[in-house]
Amino acid sequence: MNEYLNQFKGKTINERIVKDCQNYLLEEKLKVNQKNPNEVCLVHVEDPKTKEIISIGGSIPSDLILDQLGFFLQEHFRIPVGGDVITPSVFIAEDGVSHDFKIISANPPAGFNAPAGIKGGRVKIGQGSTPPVRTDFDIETPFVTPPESLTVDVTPPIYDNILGQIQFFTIQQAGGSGTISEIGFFVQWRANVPSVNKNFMLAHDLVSPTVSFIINQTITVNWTWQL
Amino acid sequence: MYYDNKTKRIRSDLILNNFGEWLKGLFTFTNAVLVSVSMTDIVGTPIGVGIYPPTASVIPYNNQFGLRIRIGSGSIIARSDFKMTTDFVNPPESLQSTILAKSTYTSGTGKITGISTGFSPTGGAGTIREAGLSTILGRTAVGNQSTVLITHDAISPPVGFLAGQQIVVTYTWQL
Repeated sequence: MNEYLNQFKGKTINERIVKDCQNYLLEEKLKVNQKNPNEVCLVHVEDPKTKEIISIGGSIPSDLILDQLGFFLQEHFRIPVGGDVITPSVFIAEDGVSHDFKIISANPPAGFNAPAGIKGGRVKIGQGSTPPVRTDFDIETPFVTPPESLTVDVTPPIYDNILGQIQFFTIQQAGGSGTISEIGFFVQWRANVPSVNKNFMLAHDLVSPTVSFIINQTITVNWTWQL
Repeated sequence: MYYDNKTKRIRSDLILNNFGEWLKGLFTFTNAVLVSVSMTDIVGTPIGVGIYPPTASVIPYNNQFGLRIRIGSGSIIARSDFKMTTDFVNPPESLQSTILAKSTYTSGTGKITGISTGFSPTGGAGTIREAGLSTILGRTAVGNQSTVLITHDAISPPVGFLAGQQIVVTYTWQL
């Protein structure tokens, strides 16, 4: 995997390289997990002026879609009772606090997707190296300097109805230096009690080869979910 | 689930475009702007479905919700499907839905499993070659709802049945 991705170092990033790398990562993943849905992500650092790839890595095939998405889907795959709330403590926010959700929303909307503030997909990078487990709720070791220490909002996802893929990405300008070895996909949803918006992690991947960056370089994460 | 090593694609059973659009909506970042996705209901009508409502006056998809299971005798499936290829003639197997018990997600294995109820006793004879999951979704007007198909699987070998028998369908999602 490292050999394939490393061939792109020094080249100018373009859509073709991103697509080739994503397809490669997906094929490597399917060799290990022959199932869908599946997800892979590509991380690269580029020079903000020349767009030259300085460092590049991808999610290793053993990464995971987490329990939090499984429990969320479970509550949809049923005949619900109005105002259903998921059992408390199933969902653990980025800060380690347990919450429950209203999956079925009454009028006015009061569910996990209720109005008030921001919602939806976000990405966080980190420098941990412990293999992810399905019960993870945050990345292992966040960076210290913002913005790489924070969650970053994803671009509007695109659904490819031929390939059955959901694709999105994030871009951030590094505030410090470091080496990316893990990455997490989060959604911000509204907890039930107390009614607050929190980030909940749905996927956690290790990155190989690790991706190094220094201040002011551009960090890009491309994520693909294969249905 | 069948993986084709030549085409590098999952073949034969499919998570449909309707589910992909829904998941895309959930993954979309928004700051008090309506996130709406386009789906096709069970009769082929395009519908707009609100995922993240910007205000309390906009009704989200989960104002109404409920999963159903469907069976049929057709054998051709594609991601763009929105209904069974060939429905049966006699009820209850001809009915477009039957009630599911609550699905169960198992932590650690990443599997969601569920089972159908209601296809009993069968009203006629037939051969099951396809099955799918459909769900009721709320639409933006209060009280309005649509049913959309989210998976469509070819069944092999085909499963024959006679009148008066019981059909049970179980499904598993592997995350």
